[in-house]
Amino acid sequence: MAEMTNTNIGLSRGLESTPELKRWLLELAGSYQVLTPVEKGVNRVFAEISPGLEVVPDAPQERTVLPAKKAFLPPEEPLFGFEKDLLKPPPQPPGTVIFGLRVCELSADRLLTAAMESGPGDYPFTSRRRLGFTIGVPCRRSAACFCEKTGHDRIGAGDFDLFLASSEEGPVLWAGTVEGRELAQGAPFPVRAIEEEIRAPVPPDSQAWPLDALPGLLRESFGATMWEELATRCLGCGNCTVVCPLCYCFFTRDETGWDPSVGRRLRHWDSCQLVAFARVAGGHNFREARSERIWYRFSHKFMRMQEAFARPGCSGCGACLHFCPVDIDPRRVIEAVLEVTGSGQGAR
Amino acid sequence: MAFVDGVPARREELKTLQEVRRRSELLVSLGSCSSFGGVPAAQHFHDLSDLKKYVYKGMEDLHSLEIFPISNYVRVDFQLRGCPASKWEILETLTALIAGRVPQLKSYPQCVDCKIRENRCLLLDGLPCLGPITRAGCGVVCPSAGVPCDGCRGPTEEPNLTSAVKLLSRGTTYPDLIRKFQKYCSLVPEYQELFDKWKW
Repeated sequence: MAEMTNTNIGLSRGLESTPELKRWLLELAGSYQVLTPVEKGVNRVFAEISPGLEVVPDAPQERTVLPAKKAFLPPEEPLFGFEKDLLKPPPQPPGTVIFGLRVCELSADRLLTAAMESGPGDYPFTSRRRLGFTIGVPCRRSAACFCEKTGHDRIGAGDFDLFLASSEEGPVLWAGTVEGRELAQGAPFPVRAIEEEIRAPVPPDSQAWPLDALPGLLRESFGATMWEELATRCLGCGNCTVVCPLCYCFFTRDETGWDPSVGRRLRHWDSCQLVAFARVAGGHNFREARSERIWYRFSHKFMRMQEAFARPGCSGCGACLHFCPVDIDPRRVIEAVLEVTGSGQGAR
Repeated sequence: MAFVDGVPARREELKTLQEVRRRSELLVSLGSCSSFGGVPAAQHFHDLSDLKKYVYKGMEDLHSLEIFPISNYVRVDFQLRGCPASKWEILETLTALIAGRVPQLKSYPQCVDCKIRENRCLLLDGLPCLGPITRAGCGVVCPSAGVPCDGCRGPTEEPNLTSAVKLLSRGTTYPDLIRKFQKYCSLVPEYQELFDKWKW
């Protein structure tokens, strides 16, 4: 494996799970909902901490099935209840501490929050996110991740609350925000302020994709045969969007009881890869072909989010590739876009 | 409103079905047999005298109709698939009709609900799981228990059959894969091209 560039706070060092760490997190669980990565069978998942669970900040299994966004945007949530003409607000969300986020996950959290705060703002998300804390940990690279290609390989100090990393004198908690510093008050580790950004360990000669050019190139690639080729393999199963830390599309539905005047409105995660995603009343489907739906997924990430937030809606975590039954690799897709638009390796 | 479970296998049952239709305003097919044929429809791919010999031993005087979903005989207003039918779908259908809503049943593949449950992916383990092409709505009962999806709820909307068969062929023999499709879905139109290429 190529040598990684050194990071400013020693991210290449592994982080051990210690009894002190667990005790501190359990202590925090007295006031907050504390989520941490744990092993669930062969999978890694974010789960609420409890005395019987083992905290595994640095496990060989590199990714959780669902991203941390599930804490702020649950797969299913009530938007409101109703009884005759009376509306009932959903239950108050708890304050949440998410421990064990890698650099790309912290970066994805910032971008997702920016997207959900834009325009009128997504109230259910922002009300939860406002009560949330993020605690970062060092990452290990896997063969499926590529944050250096998408610019999500670094995170500004104000964009996370705390970051736990190893140093020669043992673990250190780096505080990125005032709130983080306060949260760390009872922590069993030295707390230091950090002002510079934290960078993930990436291969030294790595280069980002031409992110500013990609919106135009994706537009240009619409209708190219590369999308048809992908569509012959793609099962349209929706795995890629469900496990994506930066997908946030949803649909709503009503649920009523035996008394039809009592019920609630729920929202669920949706996926642009599903046939019914762009189907409207009357039956028209704005994206009828699977190839169009695949193009749409990549264009939302590398065109629309890039244009709106100057960052792509792909953190480079590789979860979509890991969980794709037919191994559709986003790196190959973007490389193919560069290729078919004449902007590939040869052209540059 | 009438719920019809199963398929007519005898002439009297066909008469009962027609009578039920005549006397009800809405007719719902309950479960995979009545909705699209289910297990009994597998008879279309076997010799009836063989079935009598091996499956219905000692019942040589059995006279079964050819098995078809009930929509073959009467108008069906709602279909609730699955073996067995899903309690959520039954509840949603009933409460929606009481409220005057259109029941909102899932048409997407099992994988979505399976990922949301953060289950172990059986396909990644090389097992022949029909999840990506099977309609969700059961609560991914089998994969959540570590058992590959058998496809009892029938196909999702526009399944990519070619890619799915290629993927599923990795962990199983082709005859076994065909058997898996024919367990519940012998008469499902989306899968006929698969069966046309394969004769027992």
